[in-house]
This record gives sequence, structure tokens and C-alpha cells, in this order.
Amino acid sequence: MKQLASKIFRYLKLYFFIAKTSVMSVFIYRANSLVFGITPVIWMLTSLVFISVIFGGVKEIGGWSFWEVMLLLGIHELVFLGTWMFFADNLDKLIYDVRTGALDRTLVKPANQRFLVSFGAIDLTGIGSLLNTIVVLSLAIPHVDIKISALRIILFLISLFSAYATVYLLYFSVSCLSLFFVNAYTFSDWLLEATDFDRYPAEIYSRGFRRFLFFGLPILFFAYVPTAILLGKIPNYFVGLGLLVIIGLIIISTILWRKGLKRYQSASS
Amino acid sequence: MSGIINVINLKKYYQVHKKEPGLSGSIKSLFHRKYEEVKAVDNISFNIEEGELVGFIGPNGAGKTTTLKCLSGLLYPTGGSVSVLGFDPWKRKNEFLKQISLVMGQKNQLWWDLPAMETFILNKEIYEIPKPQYEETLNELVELLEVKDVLKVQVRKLSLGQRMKCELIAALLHSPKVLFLDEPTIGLDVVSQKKMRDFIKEYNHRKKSTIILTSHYMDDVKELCKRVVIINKGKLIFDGNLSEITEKYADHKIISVIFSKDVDVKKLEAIGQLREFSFPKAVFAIKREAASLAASELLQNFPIADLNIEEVPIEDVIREVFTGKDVA
Repeated sequence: MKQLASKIFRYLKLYFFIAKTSVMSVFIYRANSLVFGITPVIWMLTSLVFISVIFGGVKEIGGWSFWEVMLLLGIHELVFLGTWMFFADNLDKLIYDVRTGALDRTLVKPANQRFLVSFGAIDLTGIGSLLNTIVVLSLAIPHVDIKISALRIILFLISLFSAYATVYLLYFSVSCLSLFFVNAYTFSDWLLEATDFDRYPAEIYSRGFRRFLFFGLPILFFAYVPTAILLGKIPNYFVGLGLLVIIGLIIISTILWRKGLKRYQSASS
Repeated sequence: MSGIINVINLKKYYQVHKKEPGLSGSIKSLFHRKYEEVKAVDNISFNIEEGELVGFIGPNGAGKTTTLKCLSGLLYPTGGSVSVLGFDPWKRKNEFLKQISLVMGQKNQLWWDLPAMETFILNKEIYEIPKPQYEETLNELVELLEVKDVLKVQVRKLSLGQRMKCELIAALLHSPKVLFLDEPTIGLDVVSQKKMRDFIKEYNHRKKSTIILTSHYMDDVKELCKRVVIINKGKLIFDGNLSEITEKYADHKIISVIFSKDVDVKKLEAIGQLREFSFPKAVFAIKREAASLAASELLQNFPIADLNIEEVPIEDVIREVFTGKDVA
């Protein structure tokens, strides 16, 4: 127990130093620090216009009102804000590092190497999304009917945690494919495109496709499940299903990482 | 298994995709791929004792870097066994990685946009170096490499030589017992190369670290390494003292002569293999055992102003060994 606590402390401390170094790396370019928030704002506005156009003709889609879809969009942004800040960029870099052999420098470091490739830097360029997220959530929450209870809040928080874990494990698994196929950008691009399905209520998809998005490529656990749990639109056992998906992804990602490293060829110097 | 590094029958093979040139070749390779097995390291064995500074030499693609990558745990060997400091490198245990360091001249670990000092601080945390040891080592390395003035400058603004010195500091802060240096002087000017060599020599002397060095610059090897391992096409072809290479591969000596008067070339050719003649200078390659006799013949029968008997330059011997020619 003491050993585990000391390990957790070591990695929290290490992460603090990584975060500090990343912040310094961004702040060294003052102009960059000021403008990096613009792109996410444009991206968010595009989504809002798209949703508004759809709701111009109908009152609800798949049983979800305009403001419920806005809440879903806000939670989707919240999940991806963390994703981009904490690991997506690192995992993209893993694919690049495998191609160029730059992964070498991480693999000789005496710390958990999966931790280093996943969380070796923090990307603050997506912080502009924070403003989007706050605006969308604060507009949507007063307009939706949320029956607040301790159980609901706990289930929502668990499903939100599950969302981060699922996104991470899925991204990590896809990035590990670079250890087998070298150029895995196709897979990561495809995954990124597929996450758009999570911006809309799952009820609009056919039953078969919905099942695929729950248990095949489990992207509905990113924002749909936490939002639907908060709104009481799906049974509570979906939170448990989310945890089972995480266990499955932990197994798959660990196998891919270990087997992949055995195949790692580095690159000529 | 006596050394600090023990390598027995190490093999590392790769499957390499062979593509025919042009677009048609690319389309063809989509349906029918041709693979070729490349034996990057083919059944090599050697031991290295604690504190040794060994030079790995070989032409491009010989397998030097692949060997270092197997020794540092980056690559999983196809066959054979490797033990470094009693560890199986491939398992990459933290206890093992804390005792080694790999410096690659063409790859960097420094954070590009920040001063090198920030990478040092991060490495202190990753390697769990106690603060007093960190400060002592850092001060010592900064003094030895004379980089005090550049520690607070962004890495991207440093010259290659300054950057390489900072790379070395980042790699040595945890005082590794085994150091793998892969072409640490590549791209540096002659002055920086010399400084880097002086540092490596001094570091090896002070810390008694075991160092394996690969380099294409013979000056690096000549100045630093008593023992060399020559690898060519994945195979180990020589392992011994640098001085033994000449004895083993060069069966002749070089006699250089300066004449005081013009001489008949045909008479010179009768002495031995005349490599070069441009009055007043002639250069002969003469079998070792016949060298003193040839020198005496030259002195007796020709108007000699100066005569020198030398070993074949080590660079020439090694070049000939790589190209598979007889050194004559």
C-alpha cells in the first residue's frame, strides 16, 4: 500500500514538472499564447449553426430538444478539451515518433514509458475551447430538465470519468497500431472523424449502428452516455457497461503496446 | 559471462519491403509485396569490462547503431543473449535504465523551445536524482564542457556544438555506469570535435564509466579507444587493440623517399611496389619482412635526401577492410 502511494506520488510529482515545462514552452512565444484560442471558437460556432439549422424545421431530434442537444455538445467539448490538453497531441506524436525513431529517447527513460508517451507534454493550444464549453454549458443548463439527486450526480461523474478513460484508451490503442503499421495516421484520422457521431443523440442512429457505437467503436461513451445519464434518458446500468468497456480497452491497449514494442524497429541514424 | 556487458550470438534481422521504382511499382507493391530479410546484426559476440572505452567502427549500415540499440533495450533481438550490468536490456527495468545512457548525435532529447536547463530539471525528476547529487554533477559537467553561458538560452538558438554539449549533460546528469555514444561528434567542426573528445576522455577517466563509442571519424577512435570492435555487414570482423589492426590487416609498410637527383623509374620499380612517383618524391609499399632490406638498397643505390619507413595509416587499413580488399 505504502509502495503504491509512493508510486502515485512520484508520478503526480513528475506530471507537475511535465505540466510546468509545457506551460513554459507555450509562454515563451507571447503572440502564440494570445491567439491560440481562436480556432476552437470558429469550430464551435460552425457546430452551433449546423444544429440551429436542423432545429429550424423540427422541435426535437430523436426525442432530444434543442437545449438538450446543446448540453450534449457542451459535454462533448468538455471531454475533448481534456483529451486535447492532456493526451491527444502526445498520442499523435507517438505515431510520428515511431516513424522517425524519436521514440528511442522516451524508451530509455526510467519511468513508466506508457505514461511518458501518453502524458509527456500538455498541449495548451486548445484552451480556447474552455470558453466555448463554459458558454454552451451555461446557456444549455438553465433550459433543460435535470432532476438533481446525489445518485445522479455520482453516476454522471463516474460516466464522465469513464468518458475520459475510454477516449484515452481508444486513442492510445489506435496510436499503438503505428508500432505494427508504422504509418497509423489513417487510423487516428478516422477515429477523430468518427467522434463526430457523439455530437448528436444516439437515438437518431439505427439500432445496429448504435450497438456498434456502444460496443464496437465505443464512442457513444464519450459524451452521449454522461449527458443521457444526467438527463435520465437511459437506464443507470449504462454506467456499468461503460466500466466494462474500459476493462476491455485496458486489455486490448496493453496487448497492443507490449506486442508493438517488441516489433519496434526504430529508424536508421 | 565475465564483463559488465556480455553479448552472445546477438542477431537482429529485419524484413525490408522492396519496391520497384515509379508509380507502377507502387501499385504493384499494393498487391504483391517483395520482402527481403536484412541481417542488421548477424551472430556477434563480445564482452566489455567495467571502465573500458571501446570504439565500434564500421561503414554506414554495418550494424553499429543496431547493436547499441539492442544493448540499451530499444530493440528486441531476433536471437542470442545480451546482458548489461546483469540486466536483460529488453526488459527495460527502471533500475537498469537509471544506470545507462544513450546519446545519439542525430537525435535530441532537449526541449527545443526552452533553455537546456529546463530539460535538466525535468530529467532530475525522471531519474529521481537527489538534489545535492544533481547540483554537484551539473556544476561539474557545466565546468568541464564550458557551457555556463548558454544554459539559459533557448535550445533552438544554440549552435550544434553547444547543443551537443547540452545533450551530453542531459544524458550524464544521473551519472550512468554505462554510456552508449552513437556518433557524438557528427556534424561538429574540428575544434568542437576535439573538445568533445577531450571531454569523453576526461569523463571516462574521472567516473570510470564503461563507454561504447561509434564514430565515422577515425580521430575519435584513435584518440579515445584502446580497443576497437569492427563490424561490417552485421558481422564482427575484428575485436582487439587498435594497434593490432595494422599488424593483422596491413602486411606491408610504407617507405617514402626524397631524392636529391633525378632517378630511373624502372630501377625504382625493381625495389618493390611503387605507389607514387613524382620527382623528387617516391612512395613504396613493401612487405613488412622486406622493408629494412629495401630501405638499405635505396640508400646504397640512389641519391637519397630523406627516407622514412612508416606503418600504413589506420584509416587506409580500415577502409580497405571495409571494402574487402587486401591491404597492400
